[in-house]
Amino acid sequence: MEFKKNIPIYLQIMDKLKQDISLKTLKPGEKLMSTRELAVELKVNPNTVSRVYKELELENIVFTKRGMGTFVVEDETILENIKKKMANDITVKFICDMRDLNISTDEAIKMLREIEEEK
Amino acid sequence: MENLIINNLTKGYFKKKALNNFSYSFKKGIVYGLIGPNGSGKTTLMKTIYGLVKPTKGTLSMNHNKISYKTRKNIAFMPTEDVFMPNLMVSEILKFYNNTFEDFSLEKSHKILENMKLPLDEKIETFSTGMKMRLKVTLCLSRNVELYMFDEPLNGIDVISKDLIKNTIISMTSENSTIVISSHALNEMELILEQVLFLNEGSLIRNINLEEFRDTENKSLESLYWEVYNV
Amino acid sequence: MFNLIKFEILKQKKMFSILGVLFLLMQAFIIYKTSILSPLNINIMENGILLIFISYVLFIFSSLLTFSKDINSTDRSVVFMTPYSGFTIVSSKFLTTIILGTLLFSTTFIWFVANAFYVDPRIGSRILEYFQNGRFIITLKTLMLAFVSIGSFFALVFLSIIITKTFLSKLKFKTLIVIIVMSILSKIFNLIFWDNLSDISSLNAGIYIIIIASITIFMLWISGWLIDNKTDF
Repeated sequence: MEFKKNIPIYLQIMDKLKQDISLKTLKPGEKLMSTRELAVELKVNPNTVSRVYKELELENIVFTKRGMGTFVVEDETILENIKKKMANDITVKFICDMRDLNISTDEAIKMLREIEEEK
Repeated sequence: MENLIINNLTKGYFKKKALNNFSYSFKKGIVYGLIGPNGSGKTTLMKTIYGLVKPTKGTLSMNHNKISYKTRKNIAFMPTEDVFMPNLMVSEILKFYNNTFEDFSLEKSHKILENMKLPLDEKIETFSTGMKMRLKVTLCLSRNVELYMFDEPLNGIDVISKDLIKNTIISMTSENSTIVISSHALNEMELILEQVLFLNEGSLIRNINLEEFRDTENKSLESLYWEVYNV
Repeated sequence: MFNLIKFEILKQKKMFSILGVLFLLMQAFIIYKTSILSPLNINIMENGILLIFISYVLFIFSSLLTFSKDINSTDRSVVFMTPYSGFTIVSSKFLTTIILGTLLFSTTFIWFVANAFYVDPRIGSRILEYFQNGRFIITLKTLMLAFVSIGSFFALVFLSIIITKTFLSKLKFKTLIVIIVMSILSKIFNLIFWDNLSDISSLNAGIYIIIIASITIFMLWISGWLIDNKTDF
């Protein structure tokens, strides 16, 4: 995974995990890698991964069982909400970015349709 | 919990001081980066902590014990120089370390050697620079201490060695030990470091928590480096 | 300490292999010469003495050089990274030199005597005659005195090398500086010890030996103190 160096690493890892979870790459109830394993794989500090798991737990996306590890929650509604929130964030950013270019929302929607047809 | 406390450490006289009133308290469980150009005092600082360099002024203490050859029981240091006689075999240097340091684990050293893809039965003089660095890191990490210091562990070696070393350091962190790494190679160490100390001409000029810094300033460590050293 | 001494001996492997080869060659030469020539072969033993003398010089030179390299070069700092006190480290190097030197002396002595017998068996009775009349004890005492004096010499050079590295490292011509330091030190020691003791007559070799040994330990102690408190590595 490539990281942007000017945004907190833990936020980027959280986003990636949320994405994996909403795309079902990580299934509900699945056990996540240990903090150390994930740290070695991503080549980051294990304390960063600990923080990621802690924050995700605060958002009720994962839960930790003492001595057993960290798991994705089973509740599918929570996971649906993650997806919705992420999509929402992307949309908000899109509209803001377009506004910065002085492109109105209507024009932006037109552009979306055009590009969608091309793809 | 602070274990290594340094107060007004000075080394040298007149204008050319290697260390100039350096003060800092290191905490357990954190990975520190020591950053700065050549001659900024990184190596001198680490050597002073290990007791190889004697301070001109100031105090250092590890768990409230004054730094001396005795505090080496709690500190593992990997210097830039070779720490083995070249005509020795790897197994012989392991044996020497095992007999010298009480906290050295032969088992651990074998395991780390494997991870580093190093042989046990060869003479060190046949090793490449990268292999020697991997061996040095192995010797340092095979000890079970509270403070590990690495002086430029990624300097001038091949990509595979760098990777092996980084992975091993990451997998050996724990909440009971402190790690201090000095480096020029910001890009490679950036994701592992938590707290970064900037040195210049022997003084501590800036000290930041990387993640906080990224959060508040939206800048990278490298851009901060350019800023700090006015390059 | 054992650990350190073992380590130091390992370092000297090269020098001893060279010496071993030289002696083997000499031995072959002696055997060859005795098999073709008849009596009057004592001249060969002169060559033998020369070789022994050369080996002693080589040993002293090599030991001092090794110590100097260990202290001054940054790539051989293994031993100074250990959690042993400076005194332990210097003493281990000192003891290694003493042990190896004693080994060298005994081996060359036995070698010489054995060959002397081989070349001319009559020497045996002559040597035994010489050692009657209490000469044996005197020789022993002289040897002991020589032994501690050489030991103190090594300790003196070690100390001078350490002083040079600690306080005078910025100067050039290290060897010259070391020699100057050595001369100053030995003058100081002579002043403190010998001048006071020259009053005491009838000093026998025993007391001399103890005094020199104490000075040696004192020098080693100072070396250790410097390494722990003043010397930068």
